[in-house]
Amino acid sequence: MTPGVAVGLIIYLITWGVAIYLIAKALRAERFRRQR
Amino acid sequence: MAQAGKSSVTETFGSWASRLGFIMAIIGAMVGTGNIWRFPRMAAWYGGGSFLITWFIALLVLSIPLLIAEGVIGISTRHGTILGFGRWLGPKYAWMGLWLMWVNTAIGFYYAVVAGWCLRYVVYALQGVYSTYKPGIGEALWNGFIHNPGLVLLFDVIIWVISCIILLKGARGIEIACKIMMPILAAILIILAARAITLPGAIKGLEYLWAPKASRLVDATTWLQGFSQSLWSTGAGWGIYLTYVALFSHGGRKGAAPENNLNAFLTGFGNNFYSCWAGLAVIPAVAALAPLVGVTPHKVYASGNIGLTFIWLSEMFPKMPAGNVWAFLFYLGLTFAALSSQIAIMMVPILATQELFGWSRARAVLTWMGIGFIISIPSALSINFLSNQDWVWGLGLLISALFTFYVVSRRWRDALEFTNSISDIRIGRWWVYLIRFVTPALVIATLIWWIVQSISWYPTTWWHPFKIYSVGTALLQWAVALAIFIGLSPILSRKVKKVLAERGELK
Repeated sequence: MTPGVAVGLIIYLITWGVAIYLIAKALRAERFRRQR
Repeated sequence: MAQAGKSSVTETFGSWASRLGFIMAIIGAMVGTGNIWRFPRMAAWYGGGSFLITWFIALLVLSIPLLIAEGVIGISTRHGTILGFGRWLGPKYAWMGLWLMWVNTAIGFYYAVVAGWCLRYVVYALQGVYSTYKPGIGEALWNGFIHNPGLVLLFDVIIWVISCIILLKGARGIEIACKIMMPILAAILIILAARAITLPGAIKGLEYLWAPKASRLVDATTWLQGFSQSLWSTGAGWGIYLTYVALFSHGGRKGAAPENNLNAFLTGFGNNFYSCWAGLAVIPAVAALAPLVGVTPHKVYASGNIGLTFIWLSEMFPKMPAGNVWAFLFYLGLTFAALSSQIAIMMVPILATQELFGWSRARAVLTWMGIGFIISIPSALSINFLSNQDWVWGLGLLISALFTFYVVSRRWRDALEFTNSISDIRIGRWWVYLIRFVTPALVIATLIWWIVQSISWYPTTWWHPFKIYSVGTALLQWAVALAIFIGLSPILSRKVKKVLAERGELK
């Protein structure tokens, strides 16, 4: 593999990371809202 | 904008019971066959990492701003496309909402057929057709199916019936279905990706998928394909997001909270999350298996969505140990993606007409399911007709996006204030600049580029209205639809005004 694959890998990791972070944030916000 | 007392749509369809339910429903809506059969192909064809850069930028400057704009209309008015546009900017703009509704409906008419094809291939795998390799098996299976109209119609009917059962349960039905289908789809794609990248020779596929080609990055085509993929895949501008967010209850502790900005980001990134896994499942598998069936990966990608999915992958599965298992998982995932999107696409006309005419949920669902099945028949019987509709109304979605920009940007101050008032994540003026200037310009550029492309495919007959992918066929069908909608506008406007007045929502 060429070092260039790092470009795609980074975009993949950002996409996965942000998606999981946003889902966790949304679910956590809902839990707090229901507890209030 | 003042909130309505009670929403007729949530009375009729129920509201999202939980945030998780909404997340699964909206991701189910947006993740469709395009994530699995188009994204990997485009990425491999347009220079891997180069395409991924354009697709990622398109998410940020096109799709997410557009989703936020749709959310403003849906949440603030708590209506679907027709009443939503009418209440947001005035009843005389309701015809633009009707255009959004129609484009979804026209897509739903043929998309059920496509979902039926996917289901047929699940049954092929269950029948064990991928146990032993025979040269030409992919083409034989496809021809054996597509030239059997009774069978194509049977699977089309099955999709309409399943959609009907889910939609009759309202928002709860969609939540339950998507809470089952979407995690399973994610698991399937991850398992398939793990299998694909461990096949001998699959590493070459990661090169295709991830490594950028400088020549592609400076090629305008790559950018326009990246924009197109993002717009079609995230469902931005379709009216689906607008329709789904109208089903928030706005009710204290009960139900999910309509945090528009967070939900729009989540929808875009959630959709791309699935695309990434699909890329890893498909491209390394093609790189490893294509040489075993005597074809180059490039020829596979060039064969189009149908060629890749139903002919070449079908040819390659018998070359894998336990091919039936892998084929079953792949086509089941594809069916889930298609079905969850089909439900969402049909929710747009169902909800828009239900609230306009005061229909019950059952009446709205059964009416559209019945009409949908009947009008899907030509697509089921003719792949040329289906391809033509896909071309015409797929491009029509770009016009839907332009209408959405127009109505939201006319009241951009209200829109910005409203979306920030209901969101934990605040957005700044950058969003206003994007939806007023940058993003519409990019959508117009994309639309013009597709038209120029089409002229290059038919240099002498591009105007012909009966060519599958011609400019003439698109312009003719758009013109007919627009003439009808604009002609109906005075009647529609009066009806919208009356409905809004009855509900005390007329300014």
